[in-house]
Amino acid sequence: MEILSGLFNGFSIALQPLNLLWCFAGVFLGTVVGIMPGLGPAATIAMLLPLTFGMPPTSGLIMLAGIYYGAKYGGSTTAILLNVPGESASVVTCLDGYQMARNGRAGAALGIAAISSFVAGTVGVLGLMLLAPPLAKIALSFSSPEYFALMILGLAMVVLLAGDSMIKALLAMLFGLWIASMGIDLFTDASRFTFGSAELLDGIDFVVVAIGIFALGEVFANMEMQGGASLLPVPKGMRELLPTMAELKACRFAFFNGSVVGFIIGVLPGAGSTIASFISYGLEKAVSKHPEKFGTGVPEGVAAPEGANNSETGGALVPLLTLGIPGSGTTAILLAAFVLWGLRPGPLMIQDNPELFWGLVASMYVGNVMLLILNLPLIPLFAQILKLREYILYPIIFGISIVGIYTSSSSFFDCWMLSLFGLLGYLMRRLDYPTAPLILGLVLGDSMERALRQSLMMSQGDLSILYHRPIAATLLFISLLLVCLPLFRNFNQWRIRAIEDNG
Amino acid sequence: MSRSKIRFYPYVLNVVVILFTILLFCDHGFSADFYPNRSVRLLVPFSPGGGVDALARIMAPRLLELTGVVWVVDNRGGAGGNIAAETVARAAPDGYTVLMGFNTILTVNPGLYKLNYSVENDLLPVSMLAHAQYILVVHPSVPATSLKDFIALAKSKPGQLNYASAGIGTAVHLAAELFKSRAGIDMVHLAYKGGGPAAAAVLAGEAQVIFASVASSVAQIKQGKLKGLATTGSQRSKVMPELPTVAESGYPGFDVGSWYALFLPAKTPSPILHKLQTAAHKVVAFDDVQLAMSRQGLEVDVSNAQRLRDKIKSETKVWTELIKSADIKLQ
Repeated sequence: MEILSGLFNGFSIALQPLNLLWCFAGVFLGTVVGIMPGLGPAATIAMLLPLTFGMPPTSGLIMLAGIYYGAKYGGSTTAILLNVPGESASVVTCLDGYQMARNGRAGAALGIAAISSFVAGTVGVLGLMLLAPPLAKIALSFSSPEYFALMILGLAMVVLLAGDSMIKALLAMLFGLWIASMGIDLFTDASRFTFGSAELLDGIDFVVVAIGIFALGEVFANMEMQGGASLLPVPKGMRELLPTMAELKACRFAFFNGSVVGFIIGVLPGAGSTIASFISYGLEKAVSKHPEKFGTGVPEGVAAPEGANNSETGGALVPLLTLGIPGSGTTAILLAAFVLWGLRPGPLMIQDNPELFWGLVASMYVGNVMLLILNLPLIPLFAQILKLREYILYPIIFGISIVGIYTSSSSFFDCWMLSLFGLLGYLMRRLDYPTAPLILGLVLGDSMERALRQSLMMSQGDLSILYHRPIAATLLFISLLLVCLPLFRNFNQWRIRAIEDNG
Repeated sequence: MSRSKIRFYPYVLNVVVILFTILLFCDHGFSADFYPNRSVRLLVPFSPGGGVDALARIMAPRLLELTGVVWVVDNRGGAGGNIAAETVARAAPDGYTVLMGFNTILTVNPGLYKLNYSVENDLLPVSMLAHAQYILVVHPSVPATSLKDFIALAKSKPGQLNYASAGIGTAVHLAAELFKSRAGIDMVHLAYKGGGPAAAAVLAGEAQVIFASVASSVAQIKQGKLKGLATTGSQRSKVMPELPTVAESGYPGFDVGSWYALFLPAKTPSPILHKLQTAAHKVVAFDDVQLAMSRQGLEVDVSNAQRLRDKIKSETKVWTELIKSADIKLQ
């Protein structure tokens, strides 16, 4: 009852014309920065922060949160059309989304991304509304050993992301882990693999690697096929541009999986949306009846990660609002906004500012509907970009990538690194190495190492801390299963073959 | 028709050349009188988000009002803020490149990094803007209600209490190390990537102790999720006056905090410096700037350039010695 009256109150705030306008401004801006690689929601919110300083906090929060979850919608667009991940969380969407576009289903992929984002975004808000206070405790029960186990679970996904050769996938993952270890070591202050360069002291930015390997690597690989390459088929008519019933049906479980996994991982401040999208993709593949088709353009492969990175927003607001703990760069800036507005996020924040909390929740329902309405009609428009000839399209991808990297760091060094990773991506394609495991290693490496070493410092070197805690032990056990399952499957196939040979 | 056109063009060209020449002279000869006549870059040494960035962005529109030109906030994060500081140190001394300085960049980094510039010789202090202090907070499970209790507890359990920091060489890390050496206690350092995870670790009890900013910890202290023991400034905090300072609790001279100040390239002519000093003193008087500062737990402080210079000198000495004695290394 309390929730219903709160929600009713929230809608009366969110539906005020001015707040509707702020909400629209937020989600629109969010979509735009999500589409543009490099320019992320964090920088946008930081730039708009002074503007909201004079606004009522509720309106300001409605707009800034709109940018935050709106960006997750936009991030999939360039991932699907150009293989350029617009946001770090959209890396996984590239895997099947871009392949769908290559198969002439660009519109369908965009449509599924939008629908999945809508479903999961709404589930995320539901979770935030119903579960925020009890979930806050779970967020704190996740300490370093649990994070370490979660990262191990993520790494175990490599089994599912590998293509034909497990060895190549493992090598790619180790390379990713190596890149993750570059920079200043957080504990001993040693600089690792910096080759005497000051620019490398902070490590290599994830976006540089992801855009280099995915977007530039793809461009380089395609440039080779001179003359032979044909235009991607762009279907005409609204019908062809939207997902079919069969495709939507295939995504049924993915919508659910993405929503739940994304929300749960979102609640943990130390995890993040990229991990959420990897894990839900892995889960989708693990339970799929045709796991071998993943990576060739299956709709579930778009729906699961897109869903996860959208419901992650709802989850991430739980520790932010109830504990005052930000889990990502973007939520850290939202925290700074709270402080500037004179609010102090913490255990009593929802109680003390009900109109702010419920106004935000209601506005997120409204905002998700707006995003769906905003995004669906844009799909035919965006899909037109594939009609461009290669000699126009590839330079555009090139330009977008370089400009994107430069705007995010204003450093030429990063642009050089970008081209280096573009070459690496090209080589990996030529030598048939899967690129996703490298990204996985890079995303997880840093936090995994940190979690492990923090755990060992807590236990003063005793390794048993990693498996004596129930949550950590469960996660480690699942990872072990995940790694061993294919072995069993191989063994089983070998056994069947042996029996058949005998008989 | 065509004849008048032919005559008209050389005439226009002459005027343009003359105007251009005048402009060129203006830029050199009378730059202080005309300063500022184009936009000013305000370099923020961290990526967007966080206190320094927010303050710069709230000040920027007010600086436009005061100086009549746009102030562009330019985030140049990386290498602990050194990249932004070096950019300003090497910029043309014309007053169009200004550093939004944060204390650790000027006082800690010289001892921690091999800098490509000299804080003393290449940067010109304009004015202090604000300062803040830290609060020594502990997890509620720690059986200590005062600083004295806490030090006794830490002495009885050497190496068993963990303190969290936002990373090596951050102000919070060095504050704790200085406290350790002054109080003669031994605590284990748990480094986290940024203030958020560090605060989470203390709330969860993974680490027991942290030197936290006022803004991030006041709500938690008031709600009993954390226990505040003392503040680190030379005077009691205005936000939590009930807490004693470390200095008054038996460690005189203990004064650690954060501060923000503006800097120019060293050779900037003094008329420009004075103009900026006036602007800096006026900008902190605006209501919204003061409100933004007080909500972040900052206190306005427009100490003059000489006092700022002395402060940098004495603090650099303290931190460099501590970095040596505690053996903190980055490269």
